[in-house]
Amino acid sequence: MTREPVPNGDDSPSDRLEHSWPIGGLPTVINAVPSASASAFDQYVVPEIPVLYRVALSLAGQPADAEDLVQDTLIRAYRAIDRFDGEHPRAWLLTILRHTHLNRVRVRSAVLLPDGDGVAATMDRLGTATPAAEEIVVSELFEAVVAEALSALPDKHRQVVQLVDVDGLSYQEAADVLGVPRGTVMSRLHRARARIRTRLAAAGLAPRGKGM
Amino acid sequence: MFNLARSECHRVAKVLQSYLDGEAEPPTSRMLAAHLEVCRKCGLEASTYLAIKTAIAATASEVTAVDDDAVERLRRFADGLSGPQQ
Repeated sequence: MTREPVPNGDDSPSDRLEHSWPIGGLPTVINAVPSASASAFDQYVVPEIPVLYRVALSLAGQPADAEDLVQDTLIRAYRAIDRFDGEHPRAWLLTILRHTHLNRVRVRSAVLLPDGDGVAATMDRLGTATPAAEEIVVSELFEAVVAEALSALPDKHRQVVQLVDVDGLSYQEAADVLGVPRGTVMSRLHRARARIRTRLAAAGLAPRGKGM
Repeated sequence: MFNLARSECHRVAKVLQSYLDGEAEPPTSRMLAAHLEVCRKCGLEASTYLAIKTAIAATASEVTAVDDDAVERLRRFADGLSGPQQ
């Protein structure tokens, strides 16, 4: 799959402050893009906003960070839209999202200690998602064990599971987001699910076996 | 016959998750679908992984309601980028 050039996130210092702009409060230079580009932006980028946000949540962990991340991604996409050929807009946008995320992490880690909040944020979200109906105790238990096993996975494996099973990305799209080969996505995903399955088997909620 | 069946179970095990994710090639999908119809062991394995996928997706259900507001804000943000067209 050929790709158009993607903004790589190695931007000038002024770019690094983009995420602090309030919604609607954009520099006038952004609004100076020709209307044809604006039309392409509406056609290719805007429909992908829900996917971008879900993926950003998986990458950033916190909803506020995810929203900032998508804002930055939208700005970069808008600036680059006149160089985009219209092929595979989601893959193009996910690659911009990944570069933007890496850049934000790099900038943040330069001034803050790593907070390691990915797993904690996931656990918070999972903790509020348990179904309440008491008559489906086994289902609740199953989901609770899955959630616990998911949170216990190494970050790399958990992230792939979230991108595919929660965000609904294809293997190739997840590979684009993570910057790894499709085969790596498959192996991480399969290994992660096998671990979850092992936990379920230990809890008596799945048949024992070697897993697949 | 027994060895042939075991061999097919082994092939199914290698591609089952890709199949459940909708990522298997059509011929592979057809082979799996036919095998899962008749093989109880592999059928049980497929059910287990499908339940795991469903449970993982369910963990995000609470987040989805919050997402709607954020997505709407981002749409307005995007409109702010492309809105003032000449």
